[in-house]
Amino acid sequence: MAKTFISKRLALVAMVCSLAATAWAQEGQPYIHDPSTLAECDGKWYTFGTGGGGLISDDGWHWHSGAVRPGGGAAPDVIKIGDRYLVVYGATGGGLGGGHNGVILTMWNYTLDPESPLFNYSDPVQVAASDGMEDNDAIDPGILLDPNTGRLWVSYGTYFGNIRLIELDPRTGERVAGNEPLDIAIDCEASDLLYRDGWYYLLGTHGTCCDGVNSTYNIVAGRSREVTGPYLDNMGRDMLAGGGRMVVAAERRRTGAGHFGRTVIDEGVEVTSFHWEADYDMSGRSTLTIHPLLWKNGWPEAAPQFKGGNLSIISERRGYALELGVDFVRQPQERAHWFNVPADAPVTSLPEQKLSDVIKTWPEGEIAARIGDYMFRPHQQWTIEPVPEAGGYLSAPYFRILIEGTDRALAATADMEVTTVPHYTGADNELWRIEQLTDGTFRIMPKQIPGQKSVNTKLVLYSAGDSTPTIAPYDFHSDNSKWRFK
Amino acid sequence: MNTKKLLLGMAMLCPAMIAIAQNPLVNTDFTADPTARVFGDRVYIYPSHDIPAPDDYARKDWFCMADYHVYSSDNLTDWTDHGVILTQEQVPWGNPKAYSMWAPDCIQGKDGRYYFYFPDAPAEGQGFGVGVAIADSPTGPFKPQPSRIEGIFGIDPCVLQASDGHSYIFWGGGGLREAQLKDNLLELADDTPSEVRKMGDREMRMTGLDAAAGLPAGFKEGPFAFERDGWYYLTYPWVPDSAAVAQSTELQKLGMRMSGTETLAYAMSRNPMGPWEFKGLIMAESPTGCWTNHHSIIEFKGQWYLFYHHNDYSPGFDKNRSMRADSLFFNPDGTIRQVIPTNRGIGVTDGLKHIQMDRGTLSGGAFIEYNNTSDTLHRFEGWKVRLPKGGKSVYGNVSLPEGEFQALVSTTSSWGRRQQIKQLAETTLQITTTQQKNGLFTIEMVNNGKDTVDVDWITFVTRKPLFSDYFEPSQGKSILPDQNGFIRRWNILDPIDKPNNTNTVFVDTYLRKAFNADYSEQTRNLEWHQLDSKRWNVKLFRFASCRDKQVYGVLFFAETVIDCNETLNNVRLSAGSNSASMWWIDGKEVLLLSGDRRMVQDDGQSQRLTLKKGKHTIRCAVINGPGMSDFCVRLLDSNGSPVTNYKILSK
Repeated sequence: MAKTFISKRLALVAMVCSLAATAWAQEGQPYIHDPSTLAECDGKWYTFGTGGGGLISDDGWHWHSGAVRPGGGAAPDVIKIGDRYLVVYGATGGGLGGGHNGVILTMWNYTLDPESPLFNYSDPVQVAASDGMEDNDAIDPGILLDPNTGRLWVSYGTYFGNIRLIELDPRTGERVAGNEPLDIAIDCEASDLLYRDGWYYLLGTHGTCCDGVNSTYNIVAGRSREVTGPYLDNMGRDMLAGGGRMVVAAERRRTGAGHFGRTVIDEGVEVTSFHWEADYDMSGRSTLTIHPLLWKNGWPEAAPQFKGGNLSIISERRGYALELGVDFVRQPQERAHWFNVPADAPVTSLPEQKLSDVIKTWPEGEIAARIGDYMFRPHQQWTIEPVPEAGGYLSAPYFRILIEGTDRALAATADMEVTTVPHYTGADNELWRIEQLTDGTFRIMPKQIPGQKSVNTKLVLYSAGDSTPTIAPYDFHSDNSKWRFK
Repeated sequence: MNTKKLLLGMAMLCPAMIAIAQNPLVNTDFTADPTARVFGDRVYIYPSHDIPAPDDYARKDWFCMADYHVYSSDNLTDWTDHGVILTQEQVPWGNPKAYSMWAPDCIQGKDGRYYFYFPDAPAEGQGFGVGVAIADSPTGPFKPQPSRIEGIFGIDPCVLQASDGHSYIFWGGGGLREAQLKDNLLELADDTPSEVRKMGDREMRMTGLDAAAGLPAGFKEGPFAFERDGWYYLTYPWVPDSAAVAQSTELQKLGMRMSGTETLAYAMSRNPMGPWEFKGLIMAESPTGCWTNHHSIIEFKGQWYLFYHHNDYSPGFDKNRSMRADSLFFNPDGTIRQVIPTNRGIGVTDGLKHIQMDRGTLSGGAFIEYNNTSDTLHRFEGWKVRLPKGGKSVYGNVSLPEGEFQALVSTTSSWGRRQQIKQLAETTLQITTTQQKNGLFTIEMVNNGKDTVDVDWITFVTRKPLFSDYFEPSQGKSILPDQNGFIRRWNILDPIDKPNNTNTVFVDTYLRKAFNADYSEQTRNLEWHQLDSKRWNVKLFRFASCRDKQVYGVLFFAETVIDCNETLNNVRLSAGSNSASMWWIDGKEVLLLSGDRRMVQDDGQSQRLTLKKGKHTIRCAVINGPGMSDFCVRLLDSNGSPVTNYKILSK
């Protein structure tokens, strides 16, 4: 008994190791520093970085170079306003111990696709500058179109003095006449602004940049009821006094989080894009990464990318586990009434039910999925594995969901129910998009419903009843749409 | 010559922005006979292009012009050289080696195209003809007509597009000739009169009217006609006959110096074909002794301007000329007020760019000199003003944004171009700005020192942060912590050189060694400064930068003494710093902030301390590579609230 137990643990450890050895990050060549907020254009994703150029992705997961941004300089940001994209960037590079004559420029383009005949940047317009002597270096702009007022704001600056806020005209991308810059934080870099649920947030990067695996770069936030501040952290400390609550710092094998960007995918589905100064699994290079963005008590936190594993899938509706609709197989146990057990009887460890104990009782063909009491039984244990060749969706690749130890796969049916097929085939209805929601739960979406033409972006694994899973439209306000992993 | 041509070719490909702004208008080439025209919202100038005589041109002491450039501006300050628009080799009927591309004109026809009129020496025959080249744009490319305008023997064409719907052409040759043009703008009207004139022993048939016939003798060349408020103006270079002037009190009143060089005079008429009535001078003789003058007059954005030329950049040879412009004003009766040439010229000067104070109105013994007198072309490097004690230059129409500025002054050494840029505070110059009624500023610069100062230009830059923005000398025996408990009174030592390219070296071991090392040798010549910080964070970077001390790769020491009225139990020293810092109380280390730190209030705290009643010394060291050094420190009680019931003493 003990022997079996140990070997099983070894197998588990081996599996975890093999996962860790695989690069877990955006796929392709996601090499970039200071990625701009992700921008979508004609079904593709774009981000621009320091020094010019940028990355393109078809699915948000696989990235390659090819985006075009003239002007060089540092740390751009991009936003779509109407039918145009506004790119804002620092035309200078900033100076480590050197010059701080910074210039912020904006320019428009009708498309971000360099292959498009419409691709043509307007002449850059200067919207802010620093004279090299004042407590500010006008680079690293971040942009916010205020959803309440329609006003356009840019924060900029570095460790050389203060982060400043200016207002632009959203029609022209030019500075609003008479607008004076406002100091809103001290000693940050790569700042960005966002609005959510009655609060304005100022994101800033602290720590050491550009020192590879030794970079301590990390992203902190303060919030304010007014876009003009004061931006206070969770301790009530003003960002002008160095305040800031951590949004994302290093994680194992990845260090130096910098240049925050936020992308809202759906209600309750948000991601943040930023760079790692060094990804240990990517030669220590600076890479783009995209993580779920969670909100806890009004504070943003980047969650780790979902990596799968051997997990149970628990409904948020009832707390039951997703399982195969098979017989419940009782586990044998020698039992005596408690008053018959001597107090000094030896304590033994009981085995768990094994797959081999039950698999012969399962039908061979399709088995419908069900939700039932969580009993850590084999018919409730799933192996969730990435399928790299299937593509991805910003914060993760597509996954297959198999009964642990088998290749029986969870699948969506043409009539929008949930079943398991005896052998995973790689079909799109056996692939699942798993995203962590802003409240920390997950939504689980089939890549495609059989017979439907386009990739599914609306239907999720759904609790029709406490015990009945189905496929139904995603609704962030219903726990029927939400799941946890255990 | 080849080099020159190459340069011209490059200019064609790549229009050059010339931001010289004042008179002369450009300093990249010699430019004469400027005909200014307004097309759209820009002013275009079509001047002659004087060049030093090339090898294949025998008349070294004569006018020499091989091609035309066009210049344009939308603000009368920044002029763009659009490059060559026509060369003598391109003129089908012209002599390609005559170097006779004299004063031109350019108008926009009713067909929207641009008609460029120019004199040239014909390939066959003598004298001058006038040709036309046509373009779709005011900057060309211009395509010359195959032949010259029939009937015109002369130079310096000017076309008047009169409000009567007709166009009239004026030129110099056998008097001041004038004729109506056909609607095609390429031929003289069929009914153009003509007369036979004796030219020496030759008799020549001259077409057109002689518009100068009824005017005082002395018309020379370069007529320019325009229309304003129902009056036609015929303006022209004029050298009056000295005998005639001697007999005429009217002419004597005009203010001519009778130097025998060209003035600019004018006549008026209600009809474009005259008769013309002489009215007086627009401009007297050139103060630089330039024999010629040649001009044009335009209205642009509500102001009238006179474009003309002197020989500013070639004082020894007045056939290498430079175009200028000044504002021109009319009297209520339509007559023209005489224009006094200024060096300031026209347009608004951006105060954040170079202001050529040598172009101002000079007084108090101030005078101008060339920056470089080594040869003619080096004079394009412009002028400087020499200001002896009390010397003054006043320069108007300067734009300045709102804000505080300081002046940078470019001074030149006496032996050439070498410039030094000095902050105003380092000079004996006093510069004052006065806002004009139009919102622009007049800059007045006076030398209050004993020694003569040379100034090439000045510029205004955003005011450098001042020491007094961050610190003031400590006053009074003691102060209290500020309302948030921050200690703002410090005795700070000048920065100690401690080279570090990055802040990544600030590990604990390094810092303990660096902060506890013996700096007595390095600090021997450094001073302590007893200061009160105007901010909660003591900005060491500004402590250094505002006094031109080293700011990066430095180590700061600061000390202060606090006097507790009562014993402070269970307090913590709470500090933040950029970058790493160490803190001592009464000589004992209480806190180390290591690593690459940024200013974060309450970043680190000491263990709980008891500060007995009486005096205690707080000392800190802050080290930085490339950062904006500062620190903040306060005492917090056991609840985390600021402690404020103690005094901070001057050391």
